[in-house]
Amino acid sequence: MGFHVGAFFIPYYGFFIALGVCAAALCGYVQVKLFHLDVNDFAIIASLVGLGGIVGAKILYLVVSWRQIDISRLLDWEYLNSIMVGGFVFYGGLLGGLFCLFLCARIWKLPVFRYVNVCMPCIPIVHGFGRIGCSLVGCCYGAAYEGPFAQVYENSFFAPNHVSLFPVQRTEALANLIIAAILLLYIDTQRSRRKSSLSIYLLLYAPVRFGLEYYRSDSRGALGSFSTSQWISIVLFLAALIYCGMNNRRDRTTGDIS
Amino acid sequence: MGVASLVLGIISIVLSLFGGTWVSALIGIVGIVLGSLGRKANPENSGIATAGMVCSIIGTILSLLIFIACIACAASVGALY
Repeated sequence: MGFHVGAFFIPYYGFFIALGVCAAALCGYVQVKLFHLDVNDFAIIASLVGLGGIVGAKILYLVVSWRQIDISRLLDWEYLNSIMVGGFVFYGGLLGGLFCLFLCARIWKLPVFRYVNVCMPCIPIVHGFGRIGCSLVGCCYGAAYEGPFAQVYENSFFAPNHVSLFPVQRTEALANLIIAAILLLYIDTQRSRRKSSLSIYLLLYAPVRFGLEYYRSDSRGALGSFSTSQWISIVLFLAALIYCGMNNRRDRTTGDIS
Repeated sequence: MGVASLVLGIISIVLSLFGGTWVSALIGIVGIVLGSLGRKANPENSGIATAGMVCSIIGTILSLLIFIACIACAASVGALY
């Protein structure tokens, strides 16, 4: 599930995550220059959000799969390492990233929301590329499906092989890249209203994720009739809706749209 | 901070290429932050900080490239046994 470059084996997933990070960094750099912001502040915020994202995604993965983890073996470096290099849940990463944004604002007094507002497309870009990686290795696989664009794996370690599956990873990758394009269009054309970038992202992504969860077949956390990610989608969608409502009401009251 | 960033960046690259793990990604990210802070603190004399930032970025990307492999986000932990 990868390719060789000389003596190094490059896993597809890592390759596409790295590619996504590079694409997102390029997009963020262009946006920062376009809006006359500080590249150093962008690098600090992006790095800490990335760190928070990795830690948060890992924590949520450990939480939803705690039953399958042998806690007595956590001091075994090889076992710990195998857990740490695999298994991430996107929403944990999103929440971890948001927490680090809060820390950036509090500790380094950085104007984080100025950067969030113009660099929001970076998140769906990384996510989209990551899902392409998932599609190639077979993780986060879809439910059994016989329609067009079905995906059949031959040598996957994760997805059932020789079974026709719904291409949920490619669908979500496409959705993420479309969301990134919509956000870029919105931010670069509606400059006076770009403070809602995060809300718009959540209003677009949360329903996509909620719906696609029904087409996934890999086992992951669940609570009642919804999966963990579906519950998080509901909460984030409502939070974004409320925030947009409050913003619009304040704009109408003050007559300020900047 | 620039020197610290350079040191961490070099360590991150070396760890990535010679059997390091997710630790090299974390070291690289810290190096990027320190490099950026160093460039902000001394913009006229930011050579070392910039070098540190570049090395840290390379180390982080190499770490992502070589060591991140998705193991079915919440499922295949059982295969570890």
